[in-house]
Amino acid sequence: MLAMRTLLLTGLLYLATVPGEAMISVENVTVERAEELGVTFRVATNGVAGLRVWVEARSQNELAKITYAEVQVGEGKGRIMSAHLRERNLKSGRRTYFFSVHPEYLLQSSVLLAVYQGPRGDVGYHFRLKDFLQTESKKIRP
Amino acid sequence: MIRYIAVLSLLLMGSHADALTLHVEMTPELAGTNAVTMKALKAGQTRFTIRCRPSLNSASVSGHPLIRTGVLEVYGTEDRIMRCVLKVKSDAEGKLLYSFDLQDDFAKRAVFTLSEFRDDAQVGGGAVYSYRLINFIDPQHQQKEMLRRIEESRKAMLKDLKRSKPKIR
Repeated sequence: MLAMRTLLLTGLLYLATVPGEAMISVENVTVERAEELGVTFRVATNGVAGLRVWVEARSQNELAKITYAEVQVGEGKGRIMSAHLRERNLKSGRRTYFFSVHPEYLLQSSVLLAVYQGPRGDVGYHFRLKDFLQTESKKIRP
Repeated sequence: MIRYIAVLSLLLMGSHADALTLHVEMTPELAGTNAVTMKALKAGQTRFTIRCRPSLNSASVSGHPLIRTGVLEVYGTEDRIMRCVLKVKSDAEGKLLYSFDLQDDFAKRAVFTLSEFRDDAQVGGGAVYSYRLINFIDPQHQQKEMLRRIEESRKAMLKDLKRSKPKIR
């Protein structure tokens, strides 16, 4: 019995020391939820660069501690790229991120805002641009 | 009157200074070991991390704000798909770290550019370092491409020779 306990304890200690992948729970954000969070999207033509997309987030409440903003093009096995965007702090207290994307890839793109939630790790807010910019993208003729 | 215009032109020319911009295309030899590291991820994705030592720092550009940007550009077969300014981190040695994930087919056509300028109202100046990722994924790609073209032209020449050869009856 003692040997069994020792073995179990050793196993648990080993598992505790093995480095694991950082986990992040992700919420797919709807338009209504984005309004509640204070996140807005804008798009405009940007010459040969295609379309320029701005993301603005209110640094309050749930989004007070944004760790990073990640732009993703494509989903699942069709993911083309993902990268952490540089942040700009506006005088209004909001944070802004931007990138340029080819018009064909706009609606395949998404933005993930990772927010620090203490020892529990980060929480991700996933915004699919097709939910936010579909109407605007139709109006724009690059 | 013409004299005055000439003098005025000279004055205007002298009031504005230009500076040269250093543009360097980085290769594995120039960048050194561990400058560009690649880690295979799931679903044909690779994580690239670029480590570069800044050529300008706050002390060397005293009095002028230092503007540094790390830009990732991803190209398709014809057009540019994406351009974004990346978030920078720094390591214990003071090197700048830029990290991003790319699908393998697109990684070959992606370029990372680090630009460093001081905001001193001069045209030009500073330095631009371009990292074409293909140079790091396959350092022999230029030689391979040259061999492929030589082989193609050899085949085309043989084809032409066969066509032009008179038929003996």
